[in-house]
Amino acid sequence: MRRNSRSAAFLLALLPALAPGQDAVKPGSVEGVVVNGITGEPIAHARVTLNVYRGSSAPVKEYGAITGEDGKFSWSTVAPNGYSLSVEMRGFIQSDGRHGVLVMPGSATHELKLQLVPEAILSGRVLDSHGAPLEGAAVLALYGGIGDHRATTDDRGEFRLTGLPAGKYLVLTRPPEVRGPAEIRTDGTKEECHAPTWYPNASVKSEAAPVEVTAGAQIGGIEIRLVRIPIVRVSGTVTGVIPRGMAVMASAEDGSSSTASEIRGGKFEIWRLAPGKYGLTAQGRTADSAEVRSYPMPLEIADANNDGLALEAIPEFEVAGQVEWDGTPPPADQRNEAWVHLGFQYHGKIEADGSFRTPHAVVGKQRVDLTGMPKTVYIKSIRLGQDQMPDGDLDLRNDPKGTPVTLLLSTAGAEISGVVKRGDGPAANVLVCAAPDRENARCEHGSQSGADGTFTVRGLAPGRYRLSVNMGDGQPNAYPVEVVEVQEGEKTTRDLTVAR
Amino acid sequence: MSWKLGALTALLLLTWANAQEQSSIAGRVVDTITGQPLKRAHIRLLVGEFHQTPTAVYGAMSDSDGRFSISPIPAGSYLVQPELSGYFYLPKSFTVAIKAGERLDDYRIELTPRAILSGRVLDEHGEPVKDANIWPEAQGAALNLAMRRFDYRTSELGEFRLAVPPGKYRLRAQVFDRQEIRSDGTLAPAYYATTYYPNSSPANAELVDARPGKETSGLEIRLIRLRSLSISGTVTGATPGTPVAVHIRPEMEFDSLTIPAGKDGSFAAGDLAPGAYYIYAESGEGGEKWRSAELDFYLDNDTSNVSLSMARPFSLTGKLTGGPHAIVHLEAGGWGNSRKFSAPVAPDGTFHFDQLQPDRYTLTLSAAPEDGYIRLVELDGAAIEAREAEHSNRDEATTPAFGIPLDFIKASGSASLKVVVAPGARISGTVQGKSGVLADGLATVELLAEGQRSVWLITQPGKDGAYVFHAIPPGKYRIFAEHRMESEGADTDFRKLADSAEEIELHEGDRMTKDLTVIEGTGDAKKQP
Repeated sequence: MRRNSRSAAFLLALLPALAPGQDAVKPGSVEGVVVNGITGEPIAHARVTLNVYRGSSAPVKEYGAITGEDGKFSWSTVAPNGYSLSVEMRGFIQSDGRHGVLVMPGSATHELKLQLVPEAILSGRVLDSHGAPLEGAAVLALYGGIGDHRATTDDRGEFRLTGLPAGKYLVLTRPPEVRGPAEIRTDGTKEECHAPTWYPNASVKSEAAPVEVTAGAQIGGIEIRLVRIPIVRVSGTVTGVIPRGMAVMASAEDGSSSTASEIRGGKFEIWRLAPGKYGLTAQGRTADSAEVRSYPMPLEIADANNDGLALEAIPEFEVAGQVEWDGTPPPADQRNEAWVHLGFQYHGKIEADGSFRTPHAVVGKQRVDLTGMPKTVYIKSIRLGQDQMPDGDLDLRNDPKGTPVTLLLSTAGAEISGVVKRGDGPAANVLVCAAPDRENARCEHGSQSGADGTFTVRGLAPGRYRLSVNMGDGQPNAYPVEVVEVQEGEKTTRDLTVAR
Repeated sequence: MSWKLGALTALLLLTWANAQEQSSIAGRVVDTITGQPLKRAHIRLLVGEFHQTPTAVYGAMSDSDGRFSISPIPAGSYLVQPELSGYFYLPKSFTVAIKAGERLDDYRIELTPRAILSGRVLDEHGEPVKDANIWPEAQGAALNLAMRRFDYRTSELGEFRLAVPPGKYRLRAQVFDRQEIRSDGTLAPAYYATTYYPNSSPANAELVDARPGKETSGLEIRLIRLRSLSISGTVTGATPGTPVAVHIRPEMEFDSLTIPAGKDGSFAAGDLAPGAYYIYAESGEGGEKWRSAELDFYLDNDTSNVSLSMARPFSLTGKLTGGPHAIVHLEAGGWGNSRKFSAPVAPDGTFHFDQLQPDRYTLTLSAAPEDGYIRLVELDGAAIEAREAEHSNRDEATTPAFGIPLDFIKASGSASLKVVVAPGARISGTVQGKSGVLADGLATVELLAEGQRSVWLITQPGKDGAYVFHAIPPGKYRIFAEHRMESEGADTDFRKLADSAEEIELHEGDRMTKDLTVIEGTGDAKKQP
């Protein structure tokens, strides 16, 4: 009798008007087809369901169907309501997410197309540095930080990662966590410690060998041998505001691990970090839930202890500033709901006079973003007081205590447009991404291609960008990336071609 | 004596003292079943508080003869944590205390070889069921603690694989959130009983033999399908024309199903799982909220003719003596649906509640005098005898932890209550284990009323091993302390412990000091040397 919260929240607002469950309301109809997203062929015997977002506790009708030999499904009498449509089939995964379906009285929804792609399976074993199977290790299949898959090794050291879309994966193993300082031994033996290890046996991500998985492939025999590492200590003190439960986190730059330490009497100790680069941060919340942070300290671990590190914990603060325009600003009615976002978490509305304040910000390099502005607008420069900030980040080393942030904006953002082609025709509904051409840059600007395959990415600062295509079919790495350079205000075109 | 010689003597004395006080631990790691020595076992002795990162760790590896040694090791109390692939550690006590200068040289660590149970969960059509929860119930020994599941749920192939200590088990499977498609294209919930291997109720479960170091495979659990049930009935007593909502809530859930009653007061709900429910009706009558009393019932068949009668809210006037500044609380409703009402006691001892719905309530007090307990409650002149169980813990120790049940199901108009608070007893002391004082997290102390099992208090000793129970009503009790690890074991052990515990009698205002020694459990694991 458990009910799922389903994520069609956007449909909820429409519900009261529809008065679900009243028989007097004329039903609607829904029909569609389930196809193999790779071959385009219909899939028979798939289970399709229309589920309601359970916003109310009143009973509602939900619908299910099994597809016929032609892959088709239909319901002729569906109670008006907002639904989410999903499909399940053993050995397949749904590649295009859930579909929202709004059934109005007497409405007919047809030609719905749901795509399934064959699931791939990766399986294998995790061994310690002596070659003995290791139990309880976490195994992750990663691609691009999204849609990660996870499994745990059993008593035979075996794992099985299921439900994978096709793609190139990096496989990472994390051994079970060992807590506390290095063991003191008097019997002549030495404690052994293993690092998070990338397939086949690399302790750094750059040496990881990707595993290429095609749709429906079952790849076995993936053997990961854990890398042994020296046991070293990272220790130091935390000063400033130390709320109860505050921890010091060491996060590996390549995302392979994140290790926390309690703070006792203002001191912290972290053991067994694998060699590599880390960011060290004290993080906590006060009783009234204000964030407290220390400025991330870069840390490089080799084979020696790192002691005497000093972190200063600083409670959240207000960042206030002003938007200025290089050239003519856009009309006021096109920016009256504009917001500044710091680090994707802290937000401040831009008032009519261009001022903004984000009441809860913390130390660190915070990415600055805008929403609610015309799409041609880009951030030309960021200043904190008189200091120029590099690469679109606001580097907050301390509470600015009223030192204003100045964002210089321009409407002369560059634009890249074009057509995504697949085979002879256009590729519709794919996501085109433009990321600055530098290490670890995120996809900051995206555009969904239209039915004719056209896309336009706007509001780009001058510079070089990597254009990539995400087909939504779980093959994010399978398509070529183009590098494009744009000048201020330049409009350029570039067509992209993807394999089928 | 020259200065230099003095210093040298002092140094020698210090060295000698160190040597005298140097402690060590050594012993053997053996297989519980065969008694054979186990090599390459990793022994860890941890210093620090339970559940926290250890502040120091001493380690050793057992040799080909199963022997290990740590020498020197500072005197103190250690948590013992041996690890060997394929084995469990199931001791009576997880701690060892090493005294200054003590040389423990035959500390025996027994490891239990694991057994593997594997198989599949199937539905009534023989199709594999994914995401079924699976749990092995150990028979006899209280070994559930050691259970290690590689997957909490069955895989997409319906498969499970569990590592358990050797023994006999009943295997239990459960699945939620299954739906089936009806012929009209609508979805209906499909309910399954908690099913025991191979496909039965608990009483007819077959025992599965888990053998040391072996895998018992091919265990297939076929889930028992349950028919979904309906309930219908009538709401009476509401003003005609007022919309009435009926709320039906499964006992163990927060969400209730809400259905409107028809104009004639009739209501009906289908597709319900068999099980325990609460049901009540609610309506807005003018400015007042009317409710029916909440019924609890077990739905094991289609049920009709459920009668809910709406009742007008009533008022309650009371007089409390012995606790001038207390606050009176009345709480109704089940878990997840409790409704709490509070009223302060005026200087003359009176208190007043308005707009109470007829229901069953529990009366408690807060801000009462320290150690004050409720000696007497009279409802409309009749004394209420029963007391209800409530658990207590260290943080709430000053709150009287006993609730008084009040049945206001048939209340209407107004009722009057008399409450007398009197000084209760207090009992405190420290908890000792074999290795000294048992601090926070390592032990629990339990206080059980004689002949009235419903009064049962639990607390945990603080960092210094001290415990206290406040505001205890006079009477006969049994009090005992047990290792916290063991308190999670089988219920039968708990009864045995309780029956063998010391009996005490408490009177009003008593201040009793009672130091307790942890009762060793009655489980099967062997005692430590």
